[in-house]
Amino acid sequence: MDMVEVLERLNYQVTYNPAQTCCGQPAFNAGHREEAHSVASCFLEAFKEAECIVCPSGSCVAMVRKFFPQVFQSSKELEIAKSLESKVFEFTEFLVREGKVNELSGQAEGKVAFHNSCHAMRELRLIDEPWAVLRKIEGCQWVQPEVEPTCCGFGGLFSVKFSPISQTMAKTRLEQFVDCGADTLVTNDPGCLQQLKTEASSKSLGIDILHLSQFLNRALNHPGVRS
Amino acid sequence: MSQLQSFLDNSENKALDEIHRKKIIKAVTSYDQTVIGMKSEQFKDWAHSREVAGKIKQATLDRLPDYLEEFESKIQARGAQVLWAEDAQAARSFIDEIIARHKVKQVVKSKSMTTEEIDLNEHLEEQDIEVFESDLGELIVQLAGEKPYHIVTPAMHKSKEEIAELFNEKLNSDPDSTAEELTMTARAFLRNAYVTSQIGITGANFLIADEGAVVMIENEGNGRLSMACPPVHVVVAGIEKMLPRLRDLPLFLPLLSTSGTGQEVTCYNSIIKGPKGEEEVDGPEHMYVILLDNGRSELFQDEEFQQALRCIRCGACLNACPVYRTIGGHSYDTTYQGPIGSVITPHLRDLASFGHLAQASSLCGACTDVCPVKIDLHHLLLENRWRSKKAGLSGIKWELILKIWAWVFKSRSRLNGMSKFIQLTQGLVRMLMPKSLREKVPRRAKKSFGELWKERQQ
Amino acid sequence: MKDSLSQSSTARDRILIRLKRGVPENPAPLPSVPQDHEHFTSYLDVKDRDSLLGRFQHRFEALQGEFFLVDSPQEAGKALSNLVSGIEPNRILSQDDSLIEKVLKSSSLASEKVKSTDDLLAQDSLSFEAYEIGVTTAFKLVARTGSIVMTCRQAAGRRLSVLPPLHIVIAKASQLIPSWEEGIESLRDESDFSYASFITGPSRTADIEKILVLGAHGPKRLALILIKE
Repeated sequence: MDMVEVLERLNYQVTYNPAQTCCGQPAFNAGHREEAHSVASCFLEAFKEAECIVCPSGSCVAMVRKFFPQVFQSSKELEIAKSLESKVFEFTEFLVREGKVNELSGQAEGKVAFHNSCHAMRELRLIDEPWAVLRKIEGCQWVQPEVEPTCCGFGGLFSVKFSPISQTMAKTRLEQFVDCGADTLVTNDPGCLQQLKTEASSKSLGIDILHLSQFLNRALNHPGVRS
Repeated sequence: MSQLQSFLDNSENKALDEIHRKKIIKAVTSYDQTVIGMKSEQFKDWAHSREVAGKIKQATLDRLPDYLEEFESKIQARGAQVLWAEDAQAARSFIDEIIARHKVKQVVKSKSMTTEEIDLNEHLEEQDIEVFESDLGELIVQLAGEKPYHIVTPAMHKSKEEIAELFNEKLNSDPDSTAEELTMTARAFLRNAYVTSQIGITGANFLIADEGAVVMIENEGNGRLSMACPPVHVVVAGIEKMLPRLRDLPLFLPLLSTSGTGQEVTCYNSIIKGPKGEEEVDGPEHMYVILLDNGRSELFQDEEFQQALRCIRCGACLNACPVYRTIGGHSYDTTYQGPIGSVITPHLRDLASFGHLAQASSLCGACTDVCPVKIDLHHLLLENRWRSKKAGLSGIKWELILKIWAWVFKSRSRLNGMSKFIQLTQGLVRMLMPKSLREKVPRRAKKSFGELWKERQQ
Repeated sequence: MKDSLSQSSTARDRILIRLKRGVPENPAPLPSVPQDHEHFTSYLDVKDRDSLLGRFQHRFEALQGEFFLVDSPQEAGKALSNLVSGIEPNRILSQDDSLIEKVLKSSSLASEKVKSTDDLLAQDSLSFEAYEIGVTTAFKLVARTGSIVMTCRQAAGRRLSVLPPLHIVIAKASQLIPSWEEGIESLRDESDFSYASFITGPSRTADIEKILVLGAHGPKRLALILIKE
């Protein structure tokens, strides 16, 4: 809902089709393309009329943009699937593309770090976009680990099938943020969010973990912001 | 025990082994710093150079049979003998015959993954041939009775203290030796082996078609000694090691050393065009090049996977992989570990036994980002999952779960129903869960986005 | 070997047939030979000897190579004297070469009989283990990386430049070239050798906890006496 509120603040008309379910990625990434196809078909049905689809997850966007052509190859729906490729955007990607970044002004406190999701970073090459948005938030100190960014260990069904590996990956990633002194961690994918939150709470690490849209919405509504 | 089960056990043990985790983080952090520094120091535009390298390697594969024949005729003209081995067994038989012909009792080896692939050491030891691994890292794992942990740094998992203890036990050195003292112990131990071995076995980093040359890179000098001292030099090389031209080396050698160890170039880059020439006074009398197929020509015919044969075995994808960093090299139980290993092993060996390796990935794509020849590694892992599914290897449990999942997610009303059901029962279910699981499974949000949206519209 | 060879030739055919099945009908053209100036920051687009020399020395010394720049073979003799002081002359082995001979004559070894590889050959005992120092010439010197290019011709084979713990190279500044590209190109012209190596610093390893140690198996020390003339 945070993303909706930010978009509405920027004068976009947001609609939500209650018939939507899922893009089919969990099955696709498990190698189960038939199941992915049947669920992705519902996605096409729900979104084929949309003018523009904004999503708070680079992972889902990557599925639609990069993997739908594979899911629907040699299928009648391929054309519709391809038409969505240029209409679906990750949240920060959308804001940057629309030139709305300069209309953002927000306030936050503390030492804040950002974890970019692997799908946003590597499938969609969204490296500067999240930062273009985050840098608009003032009052907080941005801190970042010196090491190369690594995966949080979520990986969909991977975290279920190989949970000890997945959890240790989350631990290693969180450690990097704790070591650089962050008290708040922002991430742009619900998968990473859930993974890191679970690990942080099981280890009782005193670090607040938020989705980027949530962080952004809070910062825009901060009492310190001059309107 | 099945490969999958032993993978699950071993990877869990390693994932929970805090000492292991700290050692590997230390090693890969130092690797990352050096490599990132060297990429920008040495290369004008790393992205461009890897693009070019990937294209040259792919164009080489496009003409591989011609280049192999050209290589063969050129190097044979200089007196080397080329032997084509279809599988590991054939390669071992060739070596057996070379050993019989030259009355070999002792072998000195430099680091070679292809000889690991054909389990050469075990095979030779069964015949009472003494084998000296001469690369320091390889010697360490040989003395420890282990397999290499990493294709470039075989003893990455061992601390200095562990190596000092091992050398103390096996080579009688001071138990408090420094890294330098340990290296000198290995040097002294192997010095005689070069001179007394009847054959030196090495791998190859590249085979050069236009000059009929074998190229080998290293830092220690053990490779050079292995091809200088013994009267017979045997090279075991995968058929994919080819480059078309000697003039490709000024790009590929720095590319490989930068990705492998973060060096501008390695200490020794050797080009070998045959045994000692007629006019030459010193060098091996005989040279054999064993070209190893062992499943590569099958992989080569696979449109999707052929690109995996571009690999120059730099090890960058292992170092970048968060799964490798967590479970270590031994958990894979394969010759080639990490992402490249999980891509090729199911094809070079078998999908049923090694397909799970592709599942054991978060598909984060760090491997693809660092590959110097642009192999699309993480998408090939995804492709392997699809192959496993097509081959009916998903297992009944996952077949069923995903069928149900798809059935629920095909309809919003079914999904809403399921969601309500979870909301109503989660309290009870959570009570029945063991505590460890309860901590991991998040509670369903009090209200779904759909519900919130509906309230908002009213 | 006969049996396995014929087996190898049928194996050869089978491997090649399988590979030919995987070859595309219309492959993309083979990219042109990579050019150093296209890829490397440190490409030296100069032919003047001073820049090449500066770069070479910088890289060579950074890798702990011992560098001696001298004006003449006579001066080279002095540098050599310092390097070999304390070593029994009969532990020194040199390549048979007129430049090395000239340098030896101006060194503390002038009155000694320093063995050459030809002497060993004449005695029919090519045993190198007893020697502490190997003295060779070089084929080329690559400025970009501070590498010494050497074929088995400049080192009288393969062992002299790698087995003794100290490798002394005597070369001339006229042998400096900017890049590996030119090094490889010259090797292509000089086709008559079975072995060549680009040597960049003394032998090293970092196999134990990534700690750098010099002198793993090859020479612990690498010295270059470079004659300007």
